[in-house]
Parts: sequence; structure tokens; C-alpha cells
Amino acid sequence: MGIRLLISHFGALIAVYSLVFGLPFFIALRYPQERFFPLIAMAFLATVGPFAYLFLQKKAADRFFRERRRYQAALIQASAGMGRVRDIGKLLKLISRIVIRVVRVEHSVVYILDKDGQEYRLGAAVSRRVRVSFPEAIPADSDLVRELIRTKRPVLFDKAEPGNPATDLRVSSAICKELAAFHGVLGVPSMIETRLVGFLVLGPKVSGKSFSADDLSMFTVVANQSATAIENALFYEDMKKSQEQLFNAEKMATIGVMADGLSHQINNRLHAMGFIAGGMKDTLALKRELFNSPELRDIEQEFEHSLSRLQDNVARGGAIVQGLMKYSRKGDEGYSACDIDKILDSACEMAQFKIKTEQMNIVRRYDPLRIPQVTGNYARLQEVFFNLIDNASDAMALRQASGGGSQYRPELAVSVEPFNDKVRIIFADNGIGVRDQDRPKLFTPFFTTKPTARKGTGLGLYVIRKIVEEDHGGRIEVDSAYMSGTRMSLTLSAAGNAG
Amino acid sequence: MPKILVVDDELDVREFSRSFFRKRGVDALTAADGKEAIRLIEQDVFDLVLLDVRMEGMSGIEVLRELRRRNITVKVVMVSGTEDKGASQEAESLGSIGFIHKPLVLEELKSVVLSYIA
Repeated sequence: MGIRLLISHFGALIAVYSLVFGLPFFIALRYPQERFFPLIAMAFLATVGPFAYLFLQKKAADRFFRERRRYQAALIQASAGMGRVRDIGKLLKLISRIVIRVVRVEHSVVYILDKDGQEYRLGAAVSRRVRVSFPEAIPADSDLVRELIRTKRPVLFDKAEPGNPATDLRVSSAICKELAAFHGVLGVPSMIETRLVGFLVLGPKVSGKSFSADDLSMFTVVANQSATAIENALFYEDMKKSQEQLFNAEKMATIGVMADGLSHQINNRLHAMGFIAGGMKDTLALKRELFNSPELRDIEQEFEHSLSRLQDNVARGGAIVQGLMKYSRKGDEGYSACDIDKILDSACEMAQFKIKTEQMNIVRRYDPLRIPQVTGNYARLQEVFFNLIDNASDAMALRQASGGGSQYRPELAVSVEPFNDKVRIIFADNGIGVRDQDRPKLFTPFFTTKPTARKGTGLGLYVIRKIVEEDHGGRIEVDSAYMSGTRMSLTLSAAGNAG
Repeated sequence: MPKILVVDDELDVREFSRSFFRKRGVDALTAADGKEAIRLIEQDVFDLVLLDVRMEGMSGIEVLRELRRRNITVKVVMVSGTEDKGASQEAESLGSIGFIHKPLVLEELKSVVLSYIA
């Protein structure tokens, strides 16, 4: 291209200057008697010449750079588009479409690195032909991926063509085979520093021609821009998720306040109903002697029975409201000497509202007489204990689900050991346990291994540690083995030894 | 005739308390809020006050605190829907003689009230 451009520029120069000099000379030789006309023509042409030359040069350049300009325009458009799109799915589709439209290839497929970094997953596929299928995922240690990481340049599988600048990119037959699985001829890496965040696989050009150096640099620019845009989109998605979790945490707090007001209101209705039923029963009892015929006695008995059922239902409704109120956190009652066994008992009781007994056997290994009191906030310690029991039940359900075996018996042992001036409370379950890589993150806010949709805001242990260590000056320790169980150990100061 | 005061912001509870206790030979007066309760207790002598903890305006605990500040030593039984340990402890320290949970069974209330005013 460069040589041809030079030749055409030189051609334009010769054409213009042969006109500027040639025409006056021709006139002077043809009409020797004319003295002034050739001079005037020369002056005129010398003035116009450079403009004509510039015009011709621009025309030639336009012809040669048409393709490149088109790419530039497409890239400007593409970068604007990529900056705007925050949805990762839409972004990948957009990248594929840009490539297909601008370079006119048969198809374009985008793969992006999975969250755990094990494989590259199919992000988007756009094809001019119908019914072309592509692999769903490529392992991160495949030949193609390794080659892309090594060269950081497009990897081409194409007919060898003398003079084709892309020929030196030809690669081993293993990679050719891999590319063939995508019906592809070109793999383009999307790099951020040394990390391959994704790659494009492109089909052959519609024209049947080989990829030119311009095509390759176009792909490289698109791929690099894509890498940044993909990172942005993924970050945005993550941010949205954590915002949702924050919102949920706030919502839970609001629900707590609401549950408190609501349960108070419902309780008052129940109270009034119970009062009215009791009053009517009392009247019946006082006026029993008036029911002196068998029919009247029947009526009296029916009323008596109905009112008793009504009272019974009020009592049961009251028990449900009581359970609900335990979830509503209200008021800070301050710190006082608490009986750990009583708090543990109530936490176990609360857990029974949620967890069926057959799903978990809670073994209480503590002797109320041997446990010293602890200076603490009753409601918060109750929340801590309840959450630890709840976590244990989740862990055991997970172990059961992952093939715990018919011999598996979910069991949570709660024990309390006084030592020196402290009390150690231990929750030992035989649930799924914690993976080694997750252990350092256990107390990090919003870290959860539980599927978000079902449960788990990732705040449980974070709040527990805050309550135990910041509010009570205690300590919480975790000892866990995956597929074996978890042991949470809390140390609190005995009353009279606060600090 | 023994005389008690029922302090509750629920109209139904007040109305049915009056008729229920009257039938049982107890004169029951009622107050809809804390201020009214304090006014009535200052004017009259009651054998027992049933005091709701959670009410609009003054809470039962505040009423009790105010009564003690004015050196009124009437017998008070608290009635509450919440198992609020802090509130029950404070009521106890202020000299309330009992704590009843809502919703209550009227027969229980009857026996409690009758035992206190006997």
C-alpha cells in the first residue's frame, strides 16, 4: 500500500508539473512570434498548479485510505457505544455486531473469562448464516487460549498466501483444529495487562479474501477496547449486586420495625377478642340457673364450647405474634448480667420456629448451675446465638444435599465451658464445613457462599463478630474442615469481670 | 366493693373490663391514656391498677414512674404484649407487683385480680 501510494503521489506531481511547464513551452515552440502569451500562461499555470496538485493528491489518498477511514469511523462509533452499554450481554452482542458489520466476516463469537477463572464462556455469537453452533465453553488451559496469552496478538488459521502480512501468525495444527471447531479462522485476544479477559473468534471474510494488516489492527483495537468495556460492565454488575444487598439489609431493618408495630396492633386485637369471649363465657357461667330447659342447656353448652375455641385460637394467634416479635429488634436495653443458658434456650426455641427437629438435632451440653453470668445485651446475644444455630442448620442441610449418605445424622452440639474469669460457648456442627479458600473471607461483609436468591445476605457473621467483639469485648474463633463440620467458639467475660 | 382501674388505649378492652368486673362484684373504672390514669389515681383510692405498657402518649412504665415520683403507692400490675425484659425489670424495680402477658385468658386475669384485692 505504501509503495503504491508513493507512486500515485509521484504520478500526480509529474502530471501537474508537465502541464505547468509543458504547455507554455509547447506554445512558445509552436508560435515563436508570440512573446507574451507563453509567459502569461506560465505565470497562471504556476499559480494554479500547486492547488491542482493538492487536489489530486487528496483524491488519491482518499482512494487509498477509504478502507482505513471507514475503520476509523467505525471504531469511533464503537468506542462510544461500548462506553454507554452497561449490560454485559448487550455489550458482547454489540462487539460481535461491530466486527461483523465493519469487516464483513461470516460470523463473530465472543468468549469471556468465567468468574472463577476456570474457563471462557460463550458470551455472544452473531452469524450471517443460520444454524451455526459454537462451543459453550473453552477451558482456560486450551492450546488456543495459551497461544493468545503468549503472543497477545491475533492468531490466524488461513490459507497461506505469499506476501500476506498475516502469514507469520500461522500457528500449530492443534490450534487450527480448535479454531475449526468455531468455524473460525481468526482468534483475537482481549487483554488487560497480562490477563486474557476474553477473546473474539471470527469466521472468514464474506468476500473470501484473506485478512489484511488493516483488518488485524482493527480487530486488535476493538478487542482491547472490549476488554476495558467488559471489565467496566462486570464491575458495574458487581456494584449493582452489592447495592441490592445493602438495600436488602436496610429493608430487613425496616421489616423489623414494621413487624414490631404490626405485631403490637395484632396482639391488641387478639387481646380484645379474648377479653370479649372470656366475658361472654363468664356471663354464661354466672347465669347458668336460667338455662333450665334441655334446649336452653344445649344452647348454653354450644356457646360455651364455641367461646372456648375462640379463646384457644386467640391464644395460638398470640403465640405466633410472640414468635414474630422475637425477630423485630427494638430498643437497646443496655447491658446487664445475663444467664447464658437462658439466652441459649430461647435461641434454640426461636430456631425451632424455623427449623424442623428432624432436620437437626440440637444437643445442649451445659449445666445452668455451673455457668457464671455474663455481662451483655440479652437481645443481641440472643441474635448471635440464633444466627449461629441457623448457619449450622444451613451447613447441615447442604451436607445432606451433597450426598451426606444414609448414615448422616445432622447434629449441633452447644456447650458452655467456664474457664478463669471467662465463659466459652461452643457451637459444633457436622455440616458441610468451610472451604480453605473461603475461611479468610468468612467475616467480610457481603461474603456469602449461599445462593443469594434463597438466603444469605453475607451479613450474618459480620454482624455476629461486631456484636461479640466490638459490643461485648469478646472473641469469636472458627475451626472448620470442608465436608466434616464447623466449630464456632465464642469467648465472653463473666459478669463482674467486664472488659 | 373493691375498686380497680383498668388503663388501656383499646376501647373494647375498657368496655368489657367494666362489665366483666362489675358482674364479679368489682367496681372497675377505666382510663384511655396515662394522663387520665394519673388524674384518676390522684383523685381516688384504688385497690389495684391494671396498667398497659405500650400506649399512645405516655407508656405504662412512664405512668408508673410518675406515680412513684408523686409518692403514690397504689398496687400496680403491668399488662404487656411484648416480652420486653428491660421493661419488666424496670417495672419491677418501680414496685409493680405483677406482669401479665397479652393476649390473656380472662379466667387467669380474674384469679390474679381477685387474689390481689382480697
